[in-house]
Amino acid sequence: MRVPQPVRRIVSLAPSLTETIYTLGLQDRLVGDTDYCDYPPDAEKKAKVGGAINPSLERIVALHPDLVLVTKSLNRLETVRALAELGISSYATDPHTVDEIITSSEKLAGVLGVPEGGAAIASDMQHRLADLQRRIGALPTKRVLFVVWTQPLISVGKDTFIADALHRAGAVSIVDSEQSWPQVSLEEVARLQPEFLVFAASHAETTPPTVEVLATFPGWRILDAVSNRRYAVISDAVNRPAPRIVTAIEDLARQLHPDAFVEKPENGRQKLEKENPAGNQQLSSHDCLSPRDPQADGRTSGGGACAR
Amino acid sequence: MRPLTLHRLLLQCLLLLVILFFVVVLALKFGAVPVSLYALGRDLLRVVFGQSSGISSDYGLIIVNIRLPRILLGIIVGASLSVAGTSFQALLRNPLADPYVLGVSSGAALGAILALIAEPHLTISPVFAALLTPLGAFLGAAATITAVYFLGRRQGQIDSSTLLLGGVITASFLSAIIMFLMNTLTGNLRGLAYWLMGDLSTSPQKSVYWFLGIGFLAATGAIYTTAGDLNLLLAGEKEAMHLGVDVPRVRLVVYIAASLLTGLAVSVSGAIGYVGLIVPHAMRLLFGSDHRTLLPTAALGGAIAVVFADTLARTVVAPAELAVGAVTAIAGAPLFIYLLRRRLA
Amino acid sequence: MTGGSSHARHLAEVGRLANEIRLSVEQVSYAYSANPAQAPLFTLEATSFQARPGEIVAILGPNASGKSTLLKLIAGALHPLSGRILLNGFVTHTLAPRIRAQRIAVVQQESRLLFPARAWEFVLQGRHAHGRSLRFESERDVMIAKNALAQVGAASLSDRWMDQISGGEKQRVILARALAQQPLLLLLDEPTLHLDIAAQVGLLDALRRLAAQNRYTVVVVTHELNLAAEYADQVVLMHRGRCLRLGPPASVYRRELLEQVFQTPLSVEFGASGRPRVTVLAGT
Repeated sequence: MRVPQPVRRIVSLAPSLTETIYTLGLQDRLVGDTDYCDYPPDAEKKAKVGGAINPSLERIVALHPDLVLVTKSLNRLETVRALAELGISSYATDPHTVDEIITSSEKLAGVLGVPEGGAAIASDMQHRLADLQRRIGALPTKRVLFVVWTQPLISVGKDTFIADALHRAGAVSIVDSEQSWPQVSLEEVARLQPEFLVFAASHAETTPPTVEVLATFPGWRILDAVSNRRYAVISDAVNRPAPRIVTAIEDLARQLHPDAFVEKPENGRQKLEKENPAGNQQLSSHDCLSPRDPQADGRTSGGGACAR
Repeated sequence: MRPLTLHRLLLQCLLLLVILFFVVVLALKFGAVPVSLYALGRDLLRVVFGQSSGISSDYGLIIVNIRLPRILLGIIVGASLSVAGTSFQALLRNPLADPYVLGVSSGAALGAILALIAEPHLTISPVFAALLTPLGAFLGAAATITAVYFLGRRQGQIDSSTLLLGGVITASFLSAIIMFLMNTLTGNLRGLAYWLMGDLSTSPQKSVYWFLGIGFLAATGAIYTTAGDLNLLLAGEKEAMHLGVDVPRVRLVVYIAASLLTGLAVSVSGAIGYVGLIVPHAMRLLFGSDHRTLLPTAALGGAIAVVFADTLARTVVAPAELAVGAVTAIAGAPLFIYLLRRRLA
Repeated sequence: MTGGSSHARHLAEVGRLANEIRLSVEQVSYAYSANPAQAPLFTLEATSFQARPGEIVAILGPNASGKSTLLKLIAGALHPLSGRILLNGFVTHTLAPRIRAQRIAVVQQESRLLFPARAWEFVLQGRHAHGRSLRFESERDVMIAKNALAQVGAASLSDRWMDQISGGEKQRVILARALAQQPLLLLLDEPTLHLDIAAQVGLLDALRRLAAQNRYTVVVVTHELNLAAEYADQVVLMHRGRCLRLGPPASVYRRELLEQVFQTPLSVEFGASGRPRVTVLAGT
């Protein structure tokens, strides 16, 4: 379907797309988003069209959008088809790597008629990732378990942008699965003994359990990472394929490789930090039990459920 | 002695049609976007007089292109499930039979999923591809009811509790296979998971509507020609035979037609449970258990029930939506328990 | 009747039909087996008998003597292994179910109901074979059903629910449904099984009257020696899948024979009517 130009009224059906629109400074054109679009806080004030999986078509129609933004990993094909039947254009993104997040953000900017903004975001993201690479590229990668859910234990598969984000942060997931959201057995985790457990804050409507709580879960005590308190909590931005994921990557890299960040304060992040003032808190792997990013944590609405 | 007359049958159907009309108006009025009754009436009149182009407001678009197709789908699905449930109850001599309880819906769902998996590997025209899912669902439903029928037979007789148990076990077995497929396969399965719960939110293409409508009329018509036979089948296959029923023929016609109805309904709306259980029982209470009345009244009642349940599903947590299957299960499962208890008492 | 001669012709016709064989069971045999490869578990050896309109035939025997199998064969529910059964010259088991139900009515031991029905609805089921499936019952059907209920003395039960009447009343309504079929042949499987004595006698009296009035041929399966002796015109005595003796009760009821078949010491006396009476000699 052709995208009408110019795009004046946008409905976003994914939190990541909502974030991207705000990053591009196009929030005035955003006329509706989902119940799960909670970042930046202003996005919560937009007209809501329901969940990402089961949005209300009639609410979308009533908002007269020029374009509806969807992402393949979250929305249903049926929704797109139904919109097409109603004569409403939609534009789908489907990033599977961090690079693809950058290119899809850039493309989206082009579609929305602000290519220069897209280029700026892309170059900012690329610069920060390159800077990170310079700092930690030479260091040995940490073997980690990214915990999406504790009971049952669900992690991420290798063909996800989250797995790629872990790479960028100098880590590698011990889970090697074709599935996007594999359920893994604790026995297998104990055999592979990850060096770090990685949690995303405010994922799936709960704050991640503390090490003390984890140790009480049956079987978790046998993990070296639990007994050694090797435990990282990062912003739930890692769950969203939007520009802010770079902040989460930096955050994780800092927790996993604190020595690489000792001497010189990082730079070149001003642009995005306006929107995420707390995302760059220096947290070592030992003091991560203290409260984290107040903005990401204070909320209980589930970006996590949305990210699936 | 007051035997059934055509006059009385038509009167009963008319009553239900009036109720259906009001439920449809209700369903057209309520939704995530508020619509005034005046705007609704005006737009509906325009549709009736073929002036759809005159509807410029987005309310018109919402009513004509979103709510109306969905209501139409609800009517066909509700009527299909209800007629299928009525037929299974007569054929299996079991008042608790229902496409969902017997696992037939799960079989249809599995058939539909297999068809979806096979579709990309087949080189067929798009028109036929759209019908592949209903076809798979029908075959799945037919295979399941055959299996459950044989599971439920003991010494040549259908044993009521064995049948129900067989159905429940078949349903859980098929659900496990569906889970397995969904865990091993990649692709757009989120839609499937939602669809499985029973969902009317995605309207199929226009050609599928025609297919659904014709399939429903043909299958229901075929079942209705056996309405008198079904009355006698309630007394048992042997007794029905002695009263002049061609039992093997009736069994074949009704199994195939009821499987087709279940398959059609499941292929467009997933597994909406308990409609085929609640509605025929309510209609029996209201109009008696003669299948010449029961089949048409159950069809209308099923349409009323599903359109109403879907209106609830659309409005209770608006703008988000519940799966309509959740609404029918909340209402239907307790009733199932009640009927089961009463039978065992 | 319009004139004397046509009346006479009519009577002659009735007389001819009355003497005609209506039911003819010819060398019928059957074998039950769990599967075709195995030896049969039960066999019915070649059995023959004939019955005329208005006649009551009792198939008499203890349990597992093959009497119910014989009834099912006559009803057309089973296909004979050899031999054939003719009703007015037609082989019963090859008739289409609807045609068969217009000629043969079967009264089972009991009729189970899944959903509640009133007696009149139940009796109207007997009209099914005379109409198409979708047809609504006509005035004529209603009249026949009413008549059937009246004939068994159950007119007052018409509007009662079937699950709220006594066993005897229920049995009469079931019989009324069979009458509504307007059959040539009426088959009854242990009709008196769950009835008290008064109901048993009432039912069989009604049966004898109906057989005489409506010229039904009646075949009753029973193990009640005295009821068969009292009401049957012919008795088919079955024992272990064989027909031991066939004839009027007076010729079949021999003490040694019945003792052998029923495995009980008993005595046989003949009453004033010429019909035998059997007394079971308990404790001897």
